[in-house]
Amino acid sequence: MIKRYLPPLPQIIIIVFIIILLGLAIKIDIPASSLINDLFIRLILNCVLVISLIPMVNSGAGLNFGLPIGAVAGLLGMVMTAQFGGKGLTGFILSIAVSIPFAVVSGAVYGRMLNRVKGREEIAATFTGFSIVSIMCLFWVVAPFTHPQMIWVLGRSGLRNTIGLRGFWEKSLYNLLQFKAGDIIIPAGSLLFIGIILLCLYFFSRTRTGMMMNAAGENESFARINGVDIAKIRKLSVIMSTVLASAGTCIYAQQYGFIELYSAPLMAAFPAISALLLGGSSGKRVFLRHALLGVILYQSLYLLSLPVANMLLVPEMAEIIRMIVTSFIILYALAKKSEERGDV
Amino acid sequence: MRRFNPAPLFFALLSIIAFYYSDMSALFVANEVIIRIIRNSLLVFALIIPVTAGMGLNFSIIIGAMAAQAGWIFMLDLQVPGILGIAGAALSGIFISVICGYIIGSYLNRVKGREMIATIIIGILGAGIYQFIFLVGYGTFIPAHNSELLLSRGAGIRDMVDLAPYRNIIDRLWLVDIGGIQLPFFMFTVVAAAAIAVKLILLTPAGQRFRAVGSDRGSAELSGINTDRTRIQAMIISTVLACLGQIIFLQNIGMVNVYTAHMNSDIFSCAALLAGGATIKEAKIRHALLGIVLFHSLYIVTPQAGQNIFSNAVLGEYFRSFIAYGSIAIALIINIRHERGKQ
Amino acid sequence: MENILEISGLSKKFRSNYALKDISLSLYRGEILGLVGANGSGKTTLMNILSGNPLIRETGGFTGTIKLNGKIISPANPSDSLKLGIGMVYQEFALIPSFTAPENIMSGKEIRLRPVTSLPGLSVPLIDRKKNISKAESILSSIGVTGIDPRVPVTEFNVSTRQFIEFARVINSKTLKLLILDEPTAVLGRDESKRLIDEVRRIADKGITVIFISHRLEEVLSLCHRIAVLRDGILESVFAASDTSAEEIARCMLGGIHDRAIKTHSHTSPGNCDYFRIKNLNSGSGGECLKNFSLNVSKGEIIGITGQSGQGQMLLGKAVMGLIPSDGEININDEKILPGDTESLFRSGFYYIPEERRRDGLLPENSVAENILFTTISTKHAFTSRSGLLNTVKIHEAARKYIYDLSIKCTGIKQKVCELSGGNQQKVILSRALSLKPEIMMIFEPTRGIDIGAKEMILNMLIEMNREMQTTIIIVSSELDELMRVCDRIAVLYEGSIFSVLTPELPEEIFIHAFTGRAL
Repeated sequence: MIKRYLPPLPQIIIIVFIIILLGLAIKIDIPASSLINDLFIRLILNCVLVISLIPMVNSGAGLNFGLPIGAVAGLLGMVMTAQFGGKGLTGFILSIAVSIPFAVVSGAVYGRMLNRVKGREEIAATFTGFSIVSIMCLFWVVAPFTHPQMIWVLGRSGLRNTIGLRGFWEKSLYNLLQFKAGDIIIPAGSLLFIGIILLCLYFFSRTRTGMMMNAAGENESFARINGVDIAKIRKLSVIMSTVLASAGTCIYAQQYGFIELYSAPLMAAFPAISALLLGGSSGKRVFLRHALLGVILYQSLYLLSLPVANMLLVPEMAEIIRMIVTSFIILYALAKKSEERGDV
Repeated sequence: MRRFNPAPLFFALLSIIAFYYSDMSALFVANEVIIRIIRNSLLVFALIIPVTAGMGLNFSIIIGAMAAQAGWIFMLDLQVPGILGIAGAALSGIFISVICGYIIGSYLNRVKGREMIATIIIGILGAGIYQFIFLVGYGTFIPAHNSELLLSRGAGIRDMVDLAPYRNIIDRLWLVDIGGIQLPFFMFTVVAAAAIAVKLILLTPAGQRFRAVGSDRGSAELSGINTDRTRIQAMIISTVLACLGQIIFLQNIGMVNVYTAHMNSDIFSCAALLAGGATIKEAKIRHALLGIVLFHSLYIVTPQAGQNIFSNAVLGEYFRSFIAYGSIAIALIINIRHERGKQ
Repeated sequence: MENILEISGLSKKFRSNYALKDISLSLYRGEILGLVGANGSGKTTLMNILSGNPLIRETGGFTGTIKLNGKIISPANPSDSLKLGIGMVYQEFALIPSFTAPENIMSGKEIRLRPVTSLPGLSVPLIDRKKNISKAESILSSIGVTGIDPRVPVTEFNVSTRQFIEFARVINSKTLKLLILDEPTAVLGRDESKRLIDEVRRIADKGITVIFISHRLEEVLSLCHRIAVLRDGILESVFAASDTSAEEIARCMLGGIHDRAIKTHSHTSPGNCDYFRIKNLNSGSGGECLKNFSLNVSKGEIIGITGQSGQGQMLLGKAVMGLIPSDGEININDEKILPGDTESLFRSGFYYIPEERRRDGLLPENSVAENILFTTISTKHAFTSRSGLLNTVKIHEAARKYIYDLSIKCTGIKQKVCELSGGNQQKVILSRALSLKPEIMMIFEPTRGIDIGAKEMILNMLIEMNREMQTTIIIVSSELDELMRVCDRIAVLYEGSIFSVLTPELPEEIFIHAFTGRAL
């Protein structure tokens, strides 16, 4: 009985860590309002990327180590929108809209590949993601983009490593419906947008397809015996995850203010996966609340460790903590999953 | 019926085309390839036993590489020069590698079937711990004896440390020059010794155990083999070999990029092994050697070829990254499909 | 005669189920004991304990004592067992696929090169390939196997050769005290079986104790000194081979047919005689398999399929649904369907209810309502409103009706099914079948693990389904008395195919003989 309510080990450790850091932060007089504002910003940056993992996990396709594939679709959508001078909120919406077809097509191919490599999806997905990111590097160099803010000016050809979105749609979503409560900035528009995405996912799970998708992940043999085409439904979940990942990348870029090309998306999957695992689902099914809790915990750790590290220790400490925490959580979850499956 | 593996042919073709367009001198390329054989052999050899034992590509050889770097830093810190320093670096590195290999092997026994993704993440974790020790630890809670190694702020090792006290000691031993091609015979002997060592291990009862576990872990367990212990042994040997490989690698380069020297060593080693015709389930010394030659010749000539064909050197660099990742991706997909086909 | 093996009070529990209850048995040196019993009888568990299968320790170990040569033993893994002198020839073979025959036979006991011939200065234990090959060849020829190419991986040999190689692997031990053979003749033809049996006899003559597991009663009788019969985890009897007959053993194994009830179910003339046909279904390998399984079912009949455990029943449903690789043909109303084509099977009105209720028949964490109506929603697109969303109100309504009609004991439609009792879980599954209104249903072990009262209800439900909805029902079950009461015909499965199709009025003898593969 107690076991059901006890949160998983990583969660406990992280919460303890956060409490310690909070204590230190208060001690060195970091204003609470800046922490809260920072948290909102980080939530907007990362929320949808973490949520994008949910369809695949729930359909039994596993953790999406190939998230970079969706990220690349998002990048494609963004650079094309930028090339044609997208601005403001319209520009932002367009960037997502343009990336969707890319995400659907690549998701379908990726999904088909995953169906063929059952049992070792994670490693195949990781390297497929790496390969696609690196081949896109070639594309970014040779593609005929001409917008002066996007390309290298002297000597080098191709798109810049990072494209600033100032003058395009930087923070267009963030600024939408924004209001202040004292020193705290509440980005209502962004939260609403993310909320709508969450709502769509919720309603999807209440449809026939959604029901079948969850069954495929919950109990594969049951699903197969009861009319679910496992391969097809998993492919659909991969497409959904890829589309969400591309949207998440667009939201990220809008908030951060830069489109990061070339090798930036390589490691995009690991922090998102780690955050989801941190949210601690106890069974096979992952609910939206797990993802949200996970993002909040993960990002809180990061945002608290930055100022504390800067003041007390070495500035690189924050990044080191993040590396260690991220990989530790994933390793723990891998071992736990194998234990549950009876692989050991 | 041995399936014909087109990978070496594919790499050879690419290398030849790129070489043609690069306009580089054959002599120069040959010398560079020899250097890279010396530098990378043991790292690639380190992958062989885990593959044989059915654990797939061991991306955590990066940990062995970091152990080697730690060894060098210890020697520079204690200012032990010459051949003694090289030995000291190697021994301390091996010591760390044995411990790490044991820990990694024990962990991998808990994630059977998913070793490859686990070793990638272990590599990231290792890198984080490594950075913590050397970027934060040295000068703070680890006493530094040689302050020249430290960053200007007083804590943390510098980005790059020189291996001047150890340069050219074993590197150019017994050097023979044939028509412009430089052949360091001592290092060749070292590489040959390592190759023979790996082959010999596989000819012992221990080697049979590795093969048995790699072929069918379930049956191996039933027939009385302690599969968990065998797998741990495989990881220890792999990590130690990788450590030695990185010791050689760095002393050949002559300096240590403390935080980046080990990066991608796992990816490139795996790609080289696959380029030589190995698969996820089978790898031999000849695959390793052939693969290093093919992969690294491609690596050497593509930037210049890119410059000459597209007036863009950067394209060549991106292309070779793509080849590295892509060859691993394809090898994984083909192999897993083949495995599933057999079931 | 001294006792080599003494087992006393041996019990093993898995969760709350007793797989073995208070087994006491002693074997003397050189004795050959035949061990017979169904797969659920505890045979496999007993062998797992003796051979050190780690599963035993992982699930809580065992109680009672096992003494080998007077010393108490408790092997924790196969390596321990081997060191103790217990060798097991596995039914599925423990051969390493990529190894050659000599490598497999000499595994763990490789002959090494003497130091003088290996590298000077290093005492590396290199394997002496030539000596290993010749040793292996001599072992093989001693059991009558010659002409094996020592350079070829064992996967290239046919299954009977591999059986002998597996045998050679295990007998290649100087410290062997107890030899356990699990269905060693299952894949062998008559002559090869005889050869193997002669070899076993010779080994026992040398003083090695043997446990011989087989379902072929003639073999067991001709080879063994004594025969132990296990049923439901209990050691029913130990017969002396010279004093008993195959009849007696079979009767003991099957527990006789108690409560010979009169067939309470009958119906009018069956419809189309070839409504549902399975033609030459092949599946599985080695241990349990289906070999050219064929069956014709008439429309509207209730037909039972039964037999000893391990004759292929467990594979039937999975093979038809394509959950395991199989080939053959299924015909429903003259429409040809390949195994695994679940879409066509559903379209033709076929529904499969698997044996493992919890594992394959339910979504444990989901509600009663969701479990009952899942398949109707997924295959018939029912309860879906125009917007695509599921009509929860109607779903709950329908679920409530089934709960009432079938008296499913639960706190409500929203309760998770994992919290229900076995009988109620089965009712949920049958409700699902009812809501689907299938034309033909294949159900496996419908009353396993269910209390007496619920058993009756389930059987009555099946009869009613057949009467009210004209559902053709195939019941695969080991409970012969239940089948006798409910079925129009009963097919007996033996070694992967239908041995004979009988009717309930026929005398007991015919059934018992059919179960053990003998026609009267």
